[in-house]
Amino acid sequence: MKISPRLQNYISQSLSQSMEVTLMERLAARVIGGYDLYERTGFPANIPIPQVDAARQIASDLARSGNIHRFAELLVEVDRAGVMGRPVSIRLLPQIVKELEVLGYRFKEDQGIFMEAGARGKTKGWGVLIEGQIHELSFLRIDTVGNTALVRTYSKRLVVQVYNEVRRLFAGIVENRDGRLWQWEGDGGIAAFYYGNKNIQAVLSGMEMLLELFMYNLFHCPFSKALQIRLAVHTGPCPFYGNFERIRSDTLRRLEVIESEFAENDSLVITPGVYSDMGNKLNRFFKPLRVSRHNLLYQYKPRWE
Amino acid sequence: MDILVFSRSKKLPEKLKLRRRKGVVDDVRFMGLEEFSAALKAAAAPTLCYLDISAIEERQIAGYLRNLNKKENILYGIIDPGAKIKDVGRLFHDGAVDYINRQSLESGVGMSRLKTVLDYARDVHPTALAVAAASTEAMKRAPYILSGSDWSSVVPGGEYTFSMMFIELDDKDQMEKRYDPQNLSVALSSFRTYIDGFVKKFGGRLWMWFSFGGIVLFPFDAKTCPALTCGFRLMLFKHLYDIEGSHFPNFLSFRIVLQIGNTPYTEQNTGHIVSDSLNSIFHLGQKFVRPDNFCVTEEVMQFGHSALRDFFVVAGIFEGRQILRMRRPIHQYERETY
Repeated sequence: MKISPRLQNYISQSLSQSMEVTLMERLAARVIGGYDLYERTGFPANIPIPQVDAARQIASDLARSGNIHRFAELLVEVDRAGVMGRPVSIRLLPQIVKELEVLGYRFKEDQGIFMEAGARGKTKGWGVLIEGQIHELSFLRIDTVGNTALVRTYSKRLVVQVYNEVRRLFAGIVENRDGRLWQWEGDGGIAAFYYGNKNIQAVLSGMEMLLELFMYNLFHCPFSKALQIRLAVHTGPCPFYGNFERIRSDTLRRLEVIESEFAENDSLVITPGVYSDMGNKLNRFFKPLRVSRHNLLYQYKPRWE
Repeated sequence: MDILVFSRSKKLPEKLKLRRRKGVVDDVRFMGLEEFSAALKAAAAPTLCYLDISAIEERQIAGYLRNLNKKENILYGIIDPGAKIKDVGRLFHDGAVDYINRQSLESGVGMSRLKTVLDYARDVHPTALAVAAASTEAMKRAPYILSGSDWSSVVPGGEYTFSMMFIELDDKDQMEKRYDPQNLSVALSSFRTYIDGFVKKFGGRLWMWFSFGGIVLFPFDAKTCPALTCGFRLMLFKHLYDIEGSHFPNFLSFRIVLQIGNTPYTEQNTGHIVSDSLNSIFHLGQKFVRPDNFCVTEEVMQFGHSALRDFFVVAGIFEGRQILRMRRPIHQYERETY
């Protein structure tokens, strides 16, 4: 997360001019778990902390924690909806939003979140994930079917060309839904989704990939047989590292097992945790697959009449 | 009607004595067996195929016959000088319209035999012959006035040939009953914006719009038909729009029709345009096409991407033209709950 002294200063001024110390601390605790202002400032518990000191301390701690954008989102929410029915007008909010935009973020009004704008390039962590920290994410795993046979049948140049075209196609689909391609190794990879309805975004990306690959096979694929993929979506906690090799995650391990063992060619399978977020419209596209006595997965596999 | 003859024999053309004949035979082509599958696939017009089985192994003959039986616009006869077919009657029950053995081959397939074959086919396979009639009718269409591959040479006031797309939501009466007028208006407007943006990617322009649908024009250069791919994608990706973009609470259902036709082009007062093509596309869209379907005229398929051909099936004849229907993609797990 990029920050600037000016942004930190705006946050500090905004807090001290908009609310009392207890509310500041409560809001800070929603972003930094277990936040204790007395502990942070060193003030004795029986002495009230001056508003300016409290605001400065919170702004400084938020900047250090890398969560200042989340706090800014919270300030927008409080300004719009108040706190527990009480309206709270947040001073300097336009300046805070503008400063975040200068730092390369854009505010998505519909979701009330700050996103990496992408004008200076898109990063794997959306410019907000912190190295080494665990985050709740949704993952879409993509695997090309029969890679070994393809490499044996066609020239290396042709196979690389096709994989690059498919990668470009899929990266576009993922980024259109605010996801990021975390890893791509020739014949497949992993996309991560963090914002909004991340499970839905991951699933829709997978559905679109199946259809776009179908169109690619019809019009562009130079192979004599259609290129096929297997897809899986799973959600869960995962540490973030810019270098994918460093990531050790049970969520990703389970995703790999699901994709390799249960996904049929040209299909997408999702786990129950993902399925539960699909809603009435989307869930009817998925067929339950019983994979063991107690475990279900859900499959999307388009076909023709 | 076109005639295709598949054989390994170089002497066969001479023996058969088949010639072009105006009004009966448009074209006669002799091809090797290796071209059989591709030529059948590409045969868009009604075609009478003769297959010489003398060089085909007996166990492979059934496969060839299956292929010949697949397409409605194909009539076929078998040339069997080696008497490999043991049950000729069965051949006719399965769909053949002619059988040429050694004796008949020696006397040649002249025009009189061909007429007999076509008369027989007319009685037994009326659909294929209706297709032939429709195709002949289509040949009578007005000459193309090419509008080009983009809009740069289209001038308001001129008459041009376009790929014309009709698109309309189904169940409009139900929608008017079910939804609040203001909400319906917002949802319809968002649908229009979606269609407008979608067709632009293929060079299309929303030309006329009524509340529930309208007409899109695509410039036509008689070489390609990107409008076919556009309609195909609209149907294939519809469910993603339903989930991500649509303002309607229910899944949408719409009909699309694509034809090639001539019309005067204006940018204003489109309601006053007099055009047979425009009339016919409205008739086709409103009287023939079933809900949630994409139909095209046979003529469109001649210019559209050949890879899409397999995804269309004959839907019937309408106003003298053969109409093809896109096979529907099935995305939902339980279609009956749809």
